[in-house]
Amino acid sequence: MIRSPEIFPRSLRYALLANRVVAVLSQLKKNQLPPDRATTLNEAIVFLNDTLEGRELSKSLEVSERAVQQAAAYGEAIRAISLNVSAGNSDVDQELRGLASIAKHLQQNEVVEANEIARLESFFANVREISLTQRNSIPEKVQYGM
Amino acid sequence: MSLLSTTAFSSAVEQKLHTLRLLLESYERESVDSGWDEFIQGLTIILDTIEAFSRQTRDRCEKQYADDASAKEQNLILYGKTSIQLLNNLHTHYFALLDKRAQEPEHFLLPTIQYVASQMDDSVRATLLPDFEYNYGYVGLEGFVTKILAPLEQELDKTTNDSWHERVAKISRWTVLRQYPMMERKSVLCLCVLAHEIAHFVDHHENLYVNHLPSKLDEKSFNDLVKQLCEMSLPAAVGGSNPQLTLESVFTQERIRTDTLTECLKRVENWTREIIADILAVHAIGPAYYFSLCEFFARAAAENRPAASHPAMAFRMNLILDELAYLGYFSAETAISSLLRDAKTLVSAEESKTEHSGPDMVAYQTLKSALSAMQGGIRIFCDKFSYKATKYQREVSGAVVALSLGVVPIEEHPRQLSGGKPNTVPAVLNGGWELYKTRYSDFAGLFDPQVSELAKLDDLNQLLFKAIESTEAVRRWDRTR
Repeated sequence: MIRSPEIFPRSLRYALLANRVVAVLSQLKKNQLPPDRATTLNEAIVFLNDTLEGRELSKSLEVSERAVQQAAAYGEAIRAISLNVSAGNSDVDQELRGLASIAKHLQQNEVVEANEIARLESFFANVREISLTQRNSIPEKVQYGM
Repeated sequence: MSLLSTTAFSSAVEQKLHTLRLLLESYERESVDSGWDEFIQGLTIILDTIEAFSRQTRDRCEKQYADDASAKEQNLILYGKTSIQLLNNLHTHYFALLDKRAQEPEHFLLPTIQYVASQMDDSVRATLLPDFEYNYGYVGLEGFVTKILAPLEQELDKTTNDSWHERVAKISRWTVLRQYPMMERKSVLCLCVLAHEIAHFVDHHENLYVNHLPSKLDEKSFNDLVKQLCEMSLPAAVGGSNPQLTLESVFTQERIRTDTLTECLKRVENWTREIIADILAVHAIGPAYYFSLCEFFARAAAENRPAASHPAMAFRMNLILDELAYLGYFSAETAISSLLRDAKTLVSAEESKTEHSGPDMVAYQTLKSALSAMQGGIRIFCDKFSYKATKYQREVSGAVVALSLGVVPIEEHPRQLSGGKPNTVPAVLNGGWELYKTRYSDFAGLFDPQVSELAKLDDLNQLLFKAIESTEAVRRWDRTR
């Protein structure tokens, strides 16, 4: 049996990543230029690309080394979008492509409207919240002997 | 607003770091093994870096969110929870390993296992750990410090990142632990199952599974499962006149499909790795692996049911017997060939009766169609070390004769006085199993009638231990000359 002690769970990694993206977008909205902008936006793009790959996998059912990670990222994205449908498009595919496009424009220092930045920020804020609430903390173990 | 204050989180982090450091120091004082010293060094690097992460993120929040109390609190809580969860997970998983190691002396089989690992990669730190759970296990940590600290890299300053990278470069990339049930520590016959755990390391080190994953999930069973889940009825409100809700009406088909996909992909990956480990193990030690695994299933009172981690028992046994047939054991004349042929008839019938449902059905259908290609690929990899029937015929009979006379089977031809070659480990293990399965009465007859059958079996295991230990000592001596 393979035992995989997961010290840094995927959900916690997503929460930190999403938090960094939210921080950068919040500064961009205020017309500030945070020094970690390029790296963080790149991380956001990689995450969004993973979700899009995950979406493709759900149709093609292809198996690969990264398939679990991509499918899980897509699962997080669906939850994040469903929390905030009114802010964007209810079509998950279109919404993800839209978000990826905003992130790419920002990374290339192109002008992006404030409401678009807010849309991306809201998506990553939801990813952060969802990822954080996935933690299981059991305060007590009770076993009654037979 | 959080129920717990941000100060409570930062204080918890400081206290946990302090107590974990004290614990680590106590294990460091007791450690006598260089492999564990490096594991402890790795943990020290992680604790130092988490401490820096905690301090730096706190300072940054104070500056960055000086005029936004809500954002400051939210960030402090996120970082505090991150540190706490990392420290808790280290305590649960890694400190528990240190504690087990501190309580158990080095196992007799360890030098042989370390030798096998060193053949793959001489920087591997391999060890054996007993477990009170009735199970065998593999924990393969490849670059464990880097894997834990890399996600924090963006949050840390350059000096801290440079420092941990520099320290990590000085410790081994691989730490490999194999676990066995404490109650089997003195039984070589039982411990043959460890071949499967060693095989997990080979797969992990060589990334074999990546090249042998099936190309896609079985479409029909997957779509059937998603449909079935979407149509699943949710509990109806008592006395209500509202329409019956289904899972799909609450979670959407897209979400159900994606969650099912993740579940099925994980299962296919797990099963692929188990199949590969079974193939490698049976090629490495031959029929001894099959016999020990069957006994293990019996001792575990296992059911022929699949699990998220493993395919069903009959599927695995059938696969292993297929490999033994491929290695020539069904056609060659050996003392155990008829046992294997009989087992194949029974196991094939049992496998066809195995029930699969849900994600198990998807994994089963997916792997069934990919199995033959997978076997073909792994057989090529195994070819250099496969314990074929021809080798068995050449090597095992000497060990069986020695054991049946109560002699430790150290050398291939025990009656030669000089120029003997040490027995191979598979020859010793298969000698033990062949004797146990076919000629045990010869061995048992050596004892005074008052000696219990179980005490005789203990003695057989002792002879096998001595043989493995001694043949390893001879091989080491030969390497130094």
